[in-house]
Amino acid sequence: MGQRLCSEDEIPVGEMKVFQVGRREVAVARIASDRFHAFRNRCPHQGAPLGRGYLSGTFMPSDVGVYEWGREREIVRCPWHRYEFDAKTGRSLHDPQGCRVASYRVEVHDGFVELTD
Amino acid sequence: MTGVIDCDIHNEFTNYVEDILPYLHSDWRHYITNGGFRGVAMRPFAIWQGGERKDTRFPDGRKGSSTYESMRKLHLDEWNIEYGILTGSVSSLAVNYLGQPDWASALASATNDWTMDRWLGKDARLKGSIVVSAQHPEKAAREIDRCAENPDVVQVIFPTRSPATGAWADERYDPIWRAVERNDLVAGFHIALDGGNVPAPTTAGWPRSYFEASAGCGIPAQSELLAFLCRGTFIRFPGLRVAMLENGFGWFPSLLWRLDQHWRELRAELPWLKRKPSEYAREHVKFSTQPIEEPFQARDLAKLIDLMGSDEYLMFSSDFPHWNFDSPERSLPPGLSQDVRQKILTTDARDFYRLG
Repeated sequence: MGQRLCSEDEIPVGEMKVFQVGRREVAVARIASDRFHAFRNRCPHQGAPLGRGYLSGTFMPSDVGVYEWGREREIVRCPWHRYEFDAKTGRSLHDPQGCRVASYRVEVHDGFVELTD
Repeated sequence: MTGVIDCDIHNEFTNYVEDILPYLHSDWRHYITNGGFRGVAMRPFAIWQGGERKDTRFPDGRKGSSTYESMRKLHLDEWNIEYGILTGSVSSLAVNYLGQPDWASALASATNDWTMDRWLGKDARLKGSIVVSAQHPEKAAREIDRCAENPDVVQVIFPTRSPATGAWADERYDPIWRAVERNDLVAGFHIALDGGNVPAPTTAGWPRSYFEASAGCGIPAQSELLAFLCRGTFIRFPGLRVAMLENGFGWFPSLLWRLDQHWRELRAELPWLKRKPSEYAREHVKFSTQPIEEPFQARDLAKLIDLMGSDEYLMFSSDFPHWNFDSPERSLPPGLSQDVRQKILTTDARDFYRLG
């Protein structure tokens, strides 16, 4: 049994919420009605609260002058310097190996979002 | 953490027109009430997801920088700010780019009365900047004399790019520098991407993205600083202090090297430069840090400071509440000595702005 964070209704689709879990601040993103992802609420750059940033899609790598929107609601953008992170893995888009936040498992049981890491 | 002096905190309008209307001389109010005027900023660039940190906004979307109470909570108390230099809404700098000089003067005065009434005198930590309209240098000088009577006014702030008429170092602006100098204020030059009676921010025309425009922030700053240093502004106004605000500083070492090199070679063309240009720079110019340079190796910032020839050029700034805010705790990289950190975080600004 994991650590219960909130009822699933508390996080609308496309939004994020931040929880204090012991000494960690954990952000939970609801990227679809049945898909929740959690990650450390601290940007590796200057420590900004990622969960208080933006959850959206982004413009995908493309040809010059071309804009292709994709990954709707899967990209967490830091409210400060706008670094982009994959909500599912915590890895940054610009440097997936070197710049990332800790990613945690969350599951939904009986209508509640639980942290299982 | 120990106290920090923050040289670039934006106290912003909730709504420019509504905020300054009460302070606008009655002769001019009809421009707003009947003229449909909406504001001075003519912004060629939209910033995706806005120019502010999302986590500084009230739930109803208002800016956290638009009231003293929220600024105190979100920033002054949050980071143990010892002194904050308020730099106003960047949009207010665009008065300098308007075509109507007397209207611009009226707007500048109203903006300053708003600043002095709503922001100064509430908190011993807050010092302020005033704006003037460059279109009419004599009027600007009188406005500086007027506002300088407020002991918390420490700076006259300008957009980095001079209006289309020519460099800030042009003789036409002498009345302004004379007024700044006699009132012992700092002349601050802050990046502003607005349009109006002003050239493009590069010599290759207008950038096509905010990304490109912002990456080129040093270009207008270098242009203006070159003019100040070569044309003898600091010789004619020996008490003038210049703060370069939010223009970057990574470009500065090589500019100084080139200036001193040419002084060795071509001094005869500028015979009023009796000392190296870098010496005048050291005496008269400082830089705010945000957006802090991020060398490929973070520790190399210490090398960059060495290359500037003085470790007293930099003054910490956060740029609250804007998106590329620098954290007082996390933005200075490792590799700086404790002495240099202290200078950046407090001493350089304390000396330059004559703070307690």
